[in-house]
Amino acid sequence: MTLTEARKKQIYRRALLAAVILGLSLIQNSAGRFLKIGGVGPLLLIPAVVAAAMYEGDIAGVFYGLFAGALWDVFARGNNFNAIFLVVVGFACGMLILTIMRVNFVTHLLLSSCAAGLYCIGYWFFHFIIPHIDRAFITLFIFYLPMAIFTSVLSPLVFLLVRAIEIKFRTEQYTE
Amino acid sequence: MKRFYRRTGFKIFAVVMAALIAGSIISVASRNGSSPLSRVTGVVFGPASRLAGAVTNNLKRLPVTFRSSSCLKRENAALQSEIDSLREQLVDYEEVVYKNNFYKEFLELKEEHEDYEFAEAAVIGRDSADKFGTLTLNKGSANGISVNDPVIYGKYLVGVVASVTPTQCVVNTILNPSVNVSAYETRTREVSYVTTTNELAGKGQCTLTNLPAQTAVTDGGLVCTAGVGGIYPANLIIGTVVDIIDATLDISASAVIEPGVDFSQLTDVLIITEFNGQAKK
Repeated sequence: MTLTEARKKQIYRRALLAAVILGLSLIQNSAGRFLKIGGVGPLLLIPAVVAAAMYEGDIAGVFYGLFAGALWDVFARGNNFNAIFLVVVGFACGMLILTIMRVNFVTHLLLSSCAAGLYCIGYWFFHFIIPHIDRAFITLFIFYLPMAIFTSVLSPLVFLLVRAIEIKFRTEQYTE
Repeated sequence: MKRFYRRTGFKIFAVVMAALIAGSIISVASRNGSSPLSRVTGVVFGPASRLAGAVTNNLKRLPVTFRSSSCLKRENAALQSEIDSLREQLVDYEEVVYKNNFYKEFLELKEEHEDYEFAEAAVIGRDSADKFGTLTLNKGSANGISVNDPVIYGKYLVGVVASVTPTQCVVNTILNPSVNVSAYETRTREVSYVTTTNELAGKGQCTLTNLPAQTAVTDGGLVCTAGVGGIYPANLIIGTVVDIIDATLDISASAVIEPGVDFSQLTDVLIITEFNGQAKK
């Protein structure tokens, strides 16, 4: 394989991953009730950034996190809250894979679940506990924790999608 | 540890984080409530958001197609396709009726309040993580929208613009506890303010709070905006009183209000960009 071909594959792979993130962003924040159960929807961008960072490394993870977070922030009231969170997730997951973890299904499930749990608890804390909203603890158990669980349940699908792209456009640098 | 800090990955991470935090500070300081990154992303990916919004708003058409393909039998294929065609026409008809009603109410409102300047907008997204149903609309500062512009559906108040990018805006509905609207009950003329709690928002209700203990407001009363404060024009309908709660801890009472609009079903709204008595933007 020539270097040019490897580079081409890398560009295709990264462009496709960006397209997947864009698609998942539109599904996650769609106007309808698509993929929602009892008003609770999954946060598909979190497992997508985790998977992209796991396969592409910490630097690409930062940029995928930035891209996904920027898309999410368009639909949110926050000011870069989602972008900051997903950049940290992308960087941390990339670093963990480089140092102490391996790229596999279980690792992705674990990291995605932790990130989704952290996001939901963080969001709940900043939007319910700090402004002293009533019934905050009930909301955590009936809305935010189910959201994190729903995200964890669907995260393998996102991992399989990202994995399929990585395998299809595998280059020599890639190892699983 | 020094090696970790010297890594290119960490340096890039630190630069990106610093830029995002700076963006957050700018958004807090600016009047439009959105960061530079959100503004750029909103412009670049706005068309994709609009397309996704249009697709999801029209998903109700899909079962017609699925049903027709799954139930199709050879002997009644012609009949079935005719039924499908008629169903599609019915969906189109309902869409036209819906639009017609929407514009009729818009026209009535425009005739009643000549001072109102409107921008029609479509709902293209909702933040999944927000329990209170924040709406993303397909109009932004390029269409004259700014933060604190009221959003209505017909004569009913929907909410208020919370942040704006050039092509999109995010709206807090009146089912968000952070939204407060000065309001009055039309029969008794008792003035107070409408807000909601997490519990009531979960039921799709809000409350006219801080009423006197011996309030004359009763079930069935109509609650409208009072126009105090310059954010919302007067006489927009908020909803109907469905219950009166006597406070146990203080001397005030409150009225539970059922909004006149089902916010989860909204696809089109109007944004009032100008009206007499509006506070300076």
